[in-house]
Amino acid sequence: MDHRMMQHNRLTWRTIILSSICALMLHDHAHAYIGPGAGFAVGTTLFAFFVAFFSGLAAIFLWPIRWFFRFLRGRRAHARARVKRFVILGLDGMEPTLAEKYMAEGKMPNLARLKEKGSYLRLGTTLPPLSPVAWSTFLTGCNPGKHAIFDFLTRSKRNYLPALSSVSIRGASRAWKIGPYRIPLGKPDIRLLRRGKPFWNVLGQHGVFSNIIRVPITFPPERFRGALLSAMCVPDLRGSQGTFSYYTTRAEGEDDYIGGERIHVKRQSNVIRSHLIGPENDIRRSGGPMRCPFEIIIGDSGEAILKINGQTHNLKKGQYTPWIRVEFKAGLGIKVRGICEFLLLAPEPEFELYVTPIHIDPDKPALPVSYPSVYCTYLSKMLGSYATLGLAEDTWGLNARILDDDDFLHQCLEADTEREKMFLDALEKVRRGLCVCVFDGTDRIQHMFWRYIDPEHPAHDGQSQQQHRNAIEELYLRMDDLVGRTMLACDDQDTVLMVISDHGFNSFRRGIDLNFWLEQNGYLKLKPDGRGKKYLVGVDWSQTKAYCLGLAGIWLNVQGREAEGIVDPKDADGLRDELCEKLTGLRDEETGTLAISRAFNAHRTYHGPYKTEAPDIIIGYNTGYRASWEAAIGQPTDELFHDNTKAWSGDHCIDPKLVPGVLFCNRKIKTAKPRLMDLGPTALAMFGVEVPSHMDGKALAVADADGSFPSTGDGLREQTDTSSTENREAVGV
Amino acid sequence: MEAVNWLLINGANAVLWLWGLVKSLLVGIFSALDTVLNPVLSPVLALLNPICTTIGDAVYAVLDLLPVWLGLTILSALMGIVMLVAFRYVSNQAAIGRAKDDIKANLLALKLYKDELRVTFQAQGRLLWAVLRLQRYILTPVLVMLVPMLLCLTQMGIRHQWRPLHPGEQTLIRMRLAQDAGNPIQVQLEPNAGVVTEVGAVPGGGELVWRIRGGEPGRHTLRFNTAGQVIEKELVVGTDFQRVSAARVGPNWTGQLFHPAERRLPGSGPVRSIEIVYPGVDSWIYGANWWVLYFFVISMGAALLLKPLFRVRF
Repeated sequence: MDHRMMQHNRLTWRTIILSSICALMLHDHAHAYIGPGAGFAVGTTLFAFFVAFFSGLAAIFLWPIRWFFRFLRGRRAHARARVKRFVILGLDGMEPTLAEKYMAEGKMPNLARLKEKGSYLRLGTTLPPLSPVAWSTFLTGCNPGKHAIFDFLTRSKRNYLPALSSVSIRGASRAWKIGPYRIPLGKPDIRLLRRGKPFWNVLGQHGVFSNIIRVPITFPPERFRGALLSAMCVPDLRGSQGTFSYYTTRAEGEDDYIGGERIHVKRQSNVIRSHLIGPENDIRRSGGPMRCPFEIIIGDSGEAILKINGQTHNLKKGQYTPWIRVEFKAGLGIKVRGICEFLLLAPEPEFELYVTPIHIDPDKPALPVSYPSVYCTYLSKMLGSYATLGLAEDTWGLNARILDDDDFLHQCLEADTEREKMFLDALEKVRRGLCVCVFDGTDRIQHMFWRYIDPEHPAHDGQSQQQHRNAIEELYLRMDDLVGRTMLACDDQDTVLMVISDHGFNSFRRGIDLNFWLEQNGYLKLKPDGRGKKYLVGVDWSQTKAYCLGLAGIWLNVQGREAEGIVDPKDADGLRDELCEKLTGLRDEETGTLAISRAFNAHRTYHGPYKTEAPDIIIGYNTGYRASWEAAIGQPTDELFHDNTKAWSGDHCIDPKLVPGVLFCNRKIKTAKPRLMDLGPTALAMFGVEVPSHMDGKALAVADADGSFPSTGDGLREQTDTSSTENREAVGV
Repeated sequence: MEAVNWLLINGANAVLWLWGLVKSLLVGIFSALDTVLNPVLSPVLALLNPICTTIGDAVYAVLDLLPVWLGLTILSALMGIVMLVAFRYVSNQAAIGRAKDDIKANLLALKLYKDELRVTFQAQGRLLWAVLRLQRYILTPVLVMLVPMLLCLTQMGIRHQWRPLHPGEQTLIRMRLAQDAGNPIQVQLEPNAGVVTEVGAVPGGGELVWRIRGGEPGRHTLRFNTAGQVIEKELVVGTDFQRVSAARVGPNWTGQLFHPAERRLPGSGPVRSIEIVYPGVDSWIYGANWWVLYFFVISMGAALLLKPLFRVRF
């Protein structure tokens, strides 16, 4: 008995020491005895290893079974496909005239090669040619009357206030109240307001995998066969579409900017203390926004130290920090995580600090920004933190002159770099299926730097002209390099590559305040003190027949539709026609140029179940014009035309005829006038999937790898095809 | 049925044979290490052990005010935290973070692109590489923490592994000899400390055995007279929880490491070690062998809970 016990004791000790020493050589669980850190590290790595091993085995053994079941269910993916892989690279807002110019000058060799080897065509866009509308049409293959996205904003029929057109986010409806806390029962209610099914959902139903990266109007992400990262309309952590923060010791200046806020801070010795403003605290009954305190210690020679969330970061004047994770404590141990970048604008004499909008942290997202939910985490783990906000580049910061051109360009380049990594990763992973990725830098940079290439622009002041006059050209050259790298990754016979833009670009020199025009022409009446008030709160609805809100057009104040409507529904169509007639051909007397090319009666232009949700009249502005900043936010002024002196100097919300997009393809295309809405059906046809009858788009006639064209029996649009005249008219091309 | 039995029996034999082989291999490696390390580590431990035991006594003087299980819990949690903080500063956290991110990314790639066999194999390869990198990054903190951790564990072991002899309880004293002692060895014990009777030599030589019955509670000293040399060994009698030195060993670093409470025996003498076969502490929480498991669970739990607070990645 004693001897056995002695042996047992000896064995115990020997186990400990052997475990400890052999752990160094054998990497087994004995690390646990060396400390918890090492123990967990070994535990997790062993777990990872076993998961990998067994999932690998499972993948090998289950693949034939999965294939067999797909076969039984009639989902013979790729059986009728003409391609293995279909890749669409979206360059938001690439302007055909600029692309053609740079190609002719030999500055864009890759796109020129693509054109020479395959095809280049101008691509018909949508009415209105706005990104949310255009990309919704692209992904559904339908005119806006079927997907219900007509602008960034819509208006509430109840109170006329603006609301996002593509998504509605509400907190959980029920909550459990305990003392000072309010525990939400359930998840926030996030609804995608875009109707219609993306063409990749149809592909998925036929067993084709898709990898979709940052295509606008995909938030919240929908379930389908593939992986998707949402884009435009993904909010920041505060639920807005991007609110920057500007901290300064300056006493003077505006407190509110569009898309941002100014926070006055005090300097005590060389220390500044303030806080980031986070989302509303739904946990505490007292409410209010959550805060994340930080401290900045100003050092010498333009440097400072930032202390936030127990971390320390160096700030250098004029240099962005990397993405920094920040936490907002709601209470009861609940934290909301975000990421943001800090930019020290000036440490002294007056302190100025810019903080980007706080993005949803992709590593632990507070809201779903991808499908499946782990896809954004996968990208975060693979590539590091990245921008998740729908409009990631802070155009408002530059508009408000908080950021300078360099600061803004940095954001654009960073977003493009992140996107390219994601895209190339998807191209590496997906060898069979659909890959779509949209780059926004083209849109944002042209919006903000058009003033440099348009000498007639009111903001073409020439102050820093020398430095950034080539920003747009450099952008196009960078995109050409990106296309080159994409072509390398798609350099096989079985991949169709398309490079597209949703619309082109033009100058935005003068804004038109349509509310003023409506007032002048007796369609809108303001309250005595209503002029200058935002969000239409100054409008006297009892005497107003029509009003303008957003970029797309004009709404009628219809009885039974709007809360205080006065227009008899029977008279509405006549009023639409009357307004269209009066607005078409509107001239700018000051410059003597045409301001509005055409005004469209939405009810006659669109078709589909949601056409009545559109603004009643869609305005097709002429080159150089757009809805004024004030009209867009429902703030009536006392002038019809306003010079646009903001950095936001280029735009595309004009007559769609004036801003077509581009379509490059590595194969020949026989269709003469392709449209954005044809691309989804084209992808379906290339994979041998029947195009659903509700889609307005038709598959383009794309050549096979050997250059031959298939028979035209599958609804392909050839050069002579005239079947879709009606649809082309609908989108104004 | 016979075939199944045959299969089971031979299968079990094969497993046992393999286990034996692994054990032999480990013992071989251990012996080789022992030979190389002993001349260096034995004097170092001779210096360190008294210091560690003094610190251990001080710590347990405080913990003794609490129930034993609670004391062990607190100590384990504290050690977990200390190790956690040490791990943070000793390890390359950025590299560990990257390796862990790669592991997770590739695990997710397996899930996201499960229909692409090529991606599956690629992700497995990358996963393996990330696992190896992570192992490499934790090697440094493991090496740094190995020594203090073992010293702490042995201090805990001499309290939790064995209990004192109860008054009137019997056990054996085993003396291992390096050479024949020649003359009979006399054993002396303080009056009332207990009674020692000789059992004799173990056949084959090299080991003498006595039987001892515990007397009055307390720390007593056994004195062995051999070849004109007096060698002492501590005997603990009592019913409460206290430190027990099961063996006094010669200049052997592994023995010294596990039995740190008494000075090492002179290397030139005839005695290699003297061991008292104390009974194990009887508890499923802090008792013999279980304390290690309990320590493991509590220290890991504390580390896991406080990991976000200390911002440690492992």
